[in-house]
Amino acid sequence: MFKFLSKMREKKEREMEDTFSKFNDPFKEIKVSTLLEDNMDMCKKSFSDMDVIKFREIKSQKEDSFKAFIVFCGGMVNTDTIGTNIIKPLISCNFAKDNIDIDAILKGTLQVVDFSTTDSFDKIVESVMSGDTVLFIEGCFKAAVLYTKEYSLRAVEEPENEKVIGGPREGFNESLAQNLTQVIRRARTNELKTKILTIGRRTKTEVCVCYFDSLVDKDILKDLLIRLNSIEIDAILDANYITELIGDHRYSHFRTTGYSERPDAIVAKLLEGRIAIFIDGSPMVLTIPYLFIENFQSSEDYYFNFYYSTFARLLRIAAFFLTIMVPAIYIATEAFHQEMLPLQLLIRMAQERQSVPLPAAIETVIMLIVFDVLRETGVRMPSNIGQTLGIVGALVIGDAAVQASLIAAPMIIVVGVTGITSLLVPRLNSPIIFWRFFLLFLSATFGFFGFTIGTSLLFIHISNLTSFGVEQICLDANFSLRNIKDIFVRAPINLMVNRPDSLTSNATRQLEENVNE
Amino acid sequence: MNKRSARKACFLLLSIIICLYLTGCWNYRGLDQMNIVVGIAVDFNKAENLYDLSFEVASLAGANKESGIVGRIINAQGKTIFDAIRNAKRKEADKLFFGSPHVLVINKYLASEMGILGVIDFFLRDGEGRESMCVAISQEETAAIIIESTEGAIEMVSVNLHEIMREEKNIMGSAAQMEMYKIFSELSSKKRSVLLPALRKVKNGDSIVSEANGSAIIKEDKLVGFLNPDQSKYALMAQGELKSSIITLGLTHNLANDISLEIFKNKAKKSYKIEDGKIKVKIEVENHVAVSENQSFINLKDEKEVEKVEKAAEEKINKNIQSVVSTMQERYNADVFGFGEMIYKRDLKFWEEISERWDEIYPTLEVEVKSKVKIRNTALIM
Repeated sequence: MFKFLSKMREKKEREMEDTFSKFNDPFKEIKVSTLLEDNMDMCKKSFSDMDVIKFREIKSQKEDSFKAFIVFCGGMVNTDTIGTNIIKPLISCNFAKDNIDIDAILKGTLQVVDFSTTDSFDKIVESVMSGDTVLFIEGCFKAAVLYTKEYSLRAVEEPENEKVIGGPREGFNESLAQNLTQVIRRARTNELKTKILTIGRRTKTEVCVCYFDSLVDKDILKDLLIRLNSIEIDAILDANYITELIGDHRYSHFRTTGYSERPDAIVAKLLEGRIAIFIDGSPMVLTIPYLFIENFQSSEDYYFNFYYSTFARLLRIAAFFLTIMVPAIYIATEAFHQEMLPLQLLIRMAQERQSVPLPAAIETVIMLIVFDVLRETGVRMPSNIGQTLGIVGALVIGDAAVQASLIAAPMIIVVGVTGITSLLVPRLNSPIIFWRFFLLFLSATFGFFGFTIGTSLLFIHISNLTSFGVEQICLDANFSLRNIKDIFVRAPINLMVNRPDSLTSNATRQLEENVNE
Repeated sequence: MNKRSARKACFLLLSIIICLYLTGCWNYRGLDQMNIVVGIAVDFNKAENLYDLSFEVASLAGANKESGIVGRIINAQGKTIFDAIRNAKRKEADKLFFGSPHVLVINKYLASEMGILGVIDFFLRDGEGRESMCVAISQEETAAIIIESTEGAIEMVSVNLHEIMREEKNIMGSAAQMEMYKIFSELSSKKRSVLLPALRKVKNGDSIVSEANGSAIIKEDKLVGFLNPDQSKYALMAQGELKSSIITLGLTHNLANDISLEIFKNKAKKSYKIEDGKIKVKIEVENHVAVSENQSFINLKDEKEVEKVEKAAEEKINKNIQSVVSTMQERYNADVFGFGEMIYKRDLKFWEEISERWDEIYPTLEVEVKSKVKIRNTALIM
């Protein structure tokens, strides 16, 4: 089935390419002219009907022949910089028309921190739209792109999704530059490489690939760059666009790239030889390759004592299995394998089930969907009516339904356990939903036999997962003590002297090298 | 572990797991569509030549959460046991569910005339049946009366009886609870006889309740007689199956027993040798006991006195075991101690020679009982 889908996808992609090539970028081939008038016309045409774009003509006080104009996007620039560092020096300069050297002006007259020159209107449009100021000068066949970006951003806050009790509270925001800063601040070495690509035909989103030169597996890096460069899409609005476009198993429920909003977590991943992908406009930073166990790891694991962290991790692993299996096990024992229940439990359950109208399997499906409705509502709803939801959920659906003998009481417990445990592993949301209902369906049709088949399928699927060619679960060859120090247990930090073999070109952590020296 | 062997291991594991589940039922049947049988009583109506079965099922309809769940009885008659079970469905909307019955009580006349293997056969064959239910013989006229609940009962009689029989082995050792599948395998081998718990009704306060009262002797699947609780205890002790029990001694005066010894460890070894063509069996019993009651003013700090108590206990055990063994040999000719099996295990050829005549040989065996009692703990207060 997956083969069929991927064929469909290929076909679609080909169609998309065709449409893209029909969509002709009108400014692509046009170059900057030496005549200011022409450039002005061209700019006006380029930014027609765009009232946010501002033009400002500049004349020198000392030399009449010097004419220039700047173009920038209002709201995205620092107007002080433009006024004092660009306009003011140009007005007071004394270049003659026939003696213009744009490089000299940029280097000697203007007081901006970063600049470049270009002759392509394509590039000019992009620069203006990203907050830079473009300067045209009469008689120059090049335009200068001056760094004047400034726009309002969300402050650095603690990420809502990855709250911790211990450890740093900083989280990424939507600015690529600031996000990179947060990482660089934590890893002050020139080994940390940052490569910026632009993806998205219309959004022109900056995507930064970040890695430690000395640790990264070069093959994986090459693979990643190939995949990123082959993305053909008009918009990248969030990290998930990239995730879905470069993942190994596009139609699997499981993730093949990791994500985090926490700079400390990203640095830790980088230090294990992974590659981080920053996407401008998204606070989520992706990491590849992704191992299955990362679903259960939390950066907090490393900020607490390892005994507690080990316990918490085992709890999360158990929660994953509980949340997908509990409803299925309940149905299998309730409807097929009653002899597996101890008498007292059997009788209590039978007693509860005496007066309810629906078969247990249908009841389970209804209650699980009700739970998911409540959960989804809780996420979308304004926080000040949260209490209402609690009352509706707990009283109306829980208590009243049981009192009215519409739903059996054990069902509420099953749904409760299922729901709560699913919150322990937020990264596995989508596989949990699918596999929970899949196992439930098999259980309700074949009992534990079906359940076992379903579970086997789950394990087969998980053990087949790869991320950039790296097996997400390594069942063979490399199974040794040194490779499981950070899987089910979180070993004390002084014992974790190696990086994961499969991810990195340099498996020895700095720690041990120091010891050897 | 390479990939191939990992795959093999997974495959094996999967096969094993699936085996577990394939034993269950294949169709969807909710808990609300069944009558949970907790106890079964089997009688035989000779006049009509029909099996008369009583089932105790959990009575769920009337029960609320606060009070305990009591049982109610469903009666059914049939030409065979299965026939009777299907006939029971005529009175009930829900099918009987045999996934967790706790006791099977068999009428004593049925047991002595027709045997018990025929009765348990159905439950062993049935896909649902719980083969670990324990089988008991009713000492009353019918088996049904044993599982009938008394007025004001707060729990199911069968569950209660099951608990009593299971605990008996650990507390008093006066009845040997035995699971159904064990009975089958014991009785189908080596001319073995077994002891099953015997149940009767007694007055307890205002009501009449069922109680465990010694054992029933089953020889080649037929009931041949009963042992009282005390005899059962020594029969179990001779097999080393006692978990805990009490021995009382009267050392200083004859009015009453004045010392209680609590057995907390019981070991038994049996062996045989052939002398002058006769088989001589030796049973060695070792008991570790604690003194739990001493009204006799014997000074237990004195080693000699302690030895005296030990001696007296040993003698009493010897005497009692000897008496149980000879009762078994002479009166019932029932090999409950597994002497035949012992010979079979040690010397197959010899067993094959004598197995034909085992019924004649068994009563003539010379049995020597040697017991040893060690007082491990005098529980001295000061």
